[in-house]
This record gives sequence, structure tokens and C-alpha cells, in this order.
Amino acid sequence: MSEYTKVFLLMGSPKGEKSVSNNIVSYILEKFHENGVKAEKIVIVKQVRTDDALNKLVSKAIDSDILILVSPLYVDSIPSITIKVLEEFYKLTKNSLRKKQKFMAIFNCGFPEPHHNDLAMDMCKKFASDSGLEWAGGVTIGMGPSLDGRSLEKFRMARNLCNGLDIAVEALMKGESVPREAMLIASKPLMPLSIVKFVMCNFGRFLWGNQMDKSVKKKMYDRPYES
Amino acid sequence: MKAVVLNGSNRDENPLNIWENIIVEKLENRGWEVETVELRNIKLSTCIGCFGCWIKTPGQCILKDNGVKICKAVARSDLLVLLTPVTFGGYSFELKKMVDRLIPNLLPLFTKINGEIHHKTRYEKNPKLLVIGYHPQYDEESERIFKELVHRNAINMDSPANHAEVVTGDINDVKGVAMLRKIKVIS
Ligand SMILES: Cc1cc2nc3c(=O)[nH]c(=O)nc-3n(C[C@H](O)[C@H](O)[C@H](O)COP(=O)(O)O)c2cc1C
Repeated sequence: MSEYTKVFLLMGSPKGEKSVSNNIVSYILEKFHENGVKAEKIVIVKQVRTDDALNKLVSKAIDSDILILVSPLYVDSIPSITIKVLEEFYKLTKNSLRKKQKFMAIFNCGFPEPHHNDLAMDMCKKFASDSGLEWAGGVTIGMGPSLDGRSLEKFRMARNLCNGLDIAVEALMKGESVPREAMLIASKPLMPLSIVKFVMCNFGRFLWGNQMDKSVKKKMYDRPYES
Repeated sequence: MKAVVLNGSNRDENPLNIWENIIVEKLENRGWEVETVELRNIKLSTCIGCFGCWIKTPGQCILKDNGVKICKAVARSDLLVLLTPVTFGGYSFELKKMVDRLIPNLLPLFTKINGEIHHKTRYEKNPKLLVIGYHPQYDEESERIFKELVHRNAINMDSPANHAEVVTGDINDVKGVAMLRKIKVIS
């Protein structure tokens, strides 16, 4: 990889920097930086409020050699603000001759099964082929919220994810696509699914109740719009 | 019977707007009460992912704009119709803005559906789902992703029935009426 290679990480969480996606981006950025590669992060939610800011973001993304999207799953798909960036990217590039550019996507979702992210991944592949980008691979993460609040390497359950991401970064730096084995390691469930599903289905009230004020807890089941 | 039609078309002359007229006419002729929203023309913020609609004001988004009214109309409807240009197999930005804002109608609590985790819904009755996507020309992969997406959305919203259609090319009344005749969720 030459010192002129530009790596660009699109952080797609509407929550901004207090998000799981941002934790993942920080981990990847550090790996590139450790290897002396200039990688840059853009927080999409900060850059989509005006046409001008959005244009700047998309121009930078178009100009990169390796583009990595890290995003949460929203309603089985890509969050709206992140769709907006992909739509603009496509509009600006569709009829132009493109340089070689790689695209990788990493999605995390709230449900424990990583495969909820598969359709978002398919959309990213479609975006890549429609926009003339080379698909470099994807990682799907379930139970994302359990990776909130601390840096990724501090979570024991994220060790497979970190290992997979390390291999992915190494491959990208060599100008290769992400090896299938790295994607599989990184996409392993964080915990045994049967246990997590049991806990979520039987103790959901407590999991969410902990995040609510006492007065709100009583209203958890409210139906404000019932006719 | 009540229907809400959300048009996620990104411009005034999109063929989707003609589809919208045909669908509304068909529903009204059958006695449906129809509310239509041209999403590109209204003030609508994007979801900020705070989960306030579950943990602060259960059932209501904390962003007080048109999203609140639409969420309420959807909760009270029997049919939700979504119209969108197909972008990379998915919904357009304009439509997805509102779809992301519909989660107040779910509960934070979990349940298993076909062995997979999903959320329980807040209301006993949820609308059926009809989604029409427009793609200028036929594209197999886009259509596959689109139909699968609608199917998965219907699971998440606990829709009692759903139908997805991708339309291409020009549109006229005859073609529209012929297509709609086949769609069970509005017949
Ligand atoms: C509007 C909205 C829709 C969501 N839809 C899904 C979904 O369909 N499936 C899922 O597993 N998680 C869903 N989630 C949960 C997020 O994917 C999850 O909380 C994720 O960890 C957030 O990542 P972030 O911190 O990077 O934003 C949704 C969250 C929000 C706010």
C-alpha cells in the first residue's frame, strides 16, 4: 500500500459518536494508523444537514481508494441518513469513468442473530456494483448494543470481531479484498444465541426497565394512539 | 377501513405519483378512508436513534414534527401503502426517513418469530402492508432484495398480510388497474 492511499471511514449511526458503530470505526482507524496509513473518519449525521456539507462528504468519499461504511441496522435496512449518502454518491458517479476503489461494509444490529443484517449487506453490494466500486467484503454483528460505552478491545466477547477486523485491515492494506475467513470470524455471534434469546425473551422487561425512570416504567405498555 | 399512503418519491414527475392516484382511486371507490402524504413536501426529521419513544415517552417520538401525526395515523390504520423508487434494492431516503420513525408503534420487549428475535408490537392490531417500488428497468437482484425487505418489515411490524411489487417503465391506467386487481391486500 502506498503512503498516498486514502482510506475513508463513513460512520453511519444517527446517534453520532456515542454509538457502537463509532466504537468499531475507532478500532479500525487505530489499526490503520498503527501501520502508518492515513485513514479518516466522517460522522454522517454531522454532515447531512446542508447540501454543501453533504457534497463535501460525498466528494471526499468518491476521492478515496478504500471506503468503509460502518452502520447500525434500522428496520431491516440502512438508516435513512446513510441511504442519503449512498444515493448522492451514486448520482455523482453513475456516468463517470471511475478509478479502482474498494468498498467494505460493517453492520451491527440490536437483535442477537447477525443474519438480520444480511439484507443491508446485499444493498451495500448492490450499491457497490451500481456505482462501479469493487466489493471488498462485509461483517455482520448481532447484539450490537452490548458493545456500547467502551473501546472494542476491552470487551472479551468482541475478541473474534477484533481478530476478524485485524485480518480485514491487513488484507485491505495489501490491496486485497477481505478474506472470507476474516468475515466469518468477525461475524460470529458475541455469545451463544440460545442463552441470549432466552434472556431477551424472558427478562426483556428488566433489561429495558433499567433504562427507564420509575414513573415511565409503569407506562411501558401505553398505547397513546389507540382509536 | 382506513389506509395511509406514504409516497417516498423524490420528485414531482415520478411515475410513482401516477401509481399513487390509481391506488387511492381504487381504495376510495371501495369505501376506504385514505390519507396520503407526499413525504418530500413535509417537514420530517430523521430518527436520532435515542429510543426515547420506548424509555422516555412510551409510544411517542420525542421529535415533535409531522412524524408524530403520521405514526398515529399508521397505528390507527388497516392498511399501510408505501411507494418508493427502488434504491440498491431498498427504500429511498425520503421514504426511509418515515419508516425509521415508526418504531414508537413497537414495544421494546422481545419475542421469537420463526425462531428469530423480534420486537413485540405495541398495538393489538397492525396494518397490512403494501409496498410498490419503481425501478426504471427490470433488475433481478434489486427486485429480490426489495421483496425480501418488505417480507422482513412485515414480520417486524407484525403485519397480518403483505405484498411487494416492483414496477418498471411507463404507466397507464389499464396497466395499473390490471396489476392492482391481483393484489389481495387491497381487494
Ligand atoms: C429506528 C431503529 C430501528 C432499528 N431496527 C432494527 C432492526 O430492524 N433489527 C435489529 O436487530 N436492530 C434494530 N435496531 C437496533 C440497532 O441496530 C442497535 O441498537 C444498534 O446497536 C445501534 O448501533 P449504533 O450504536 O451504532 O447506532 C434499530 C434501532 C433504531 C433506533
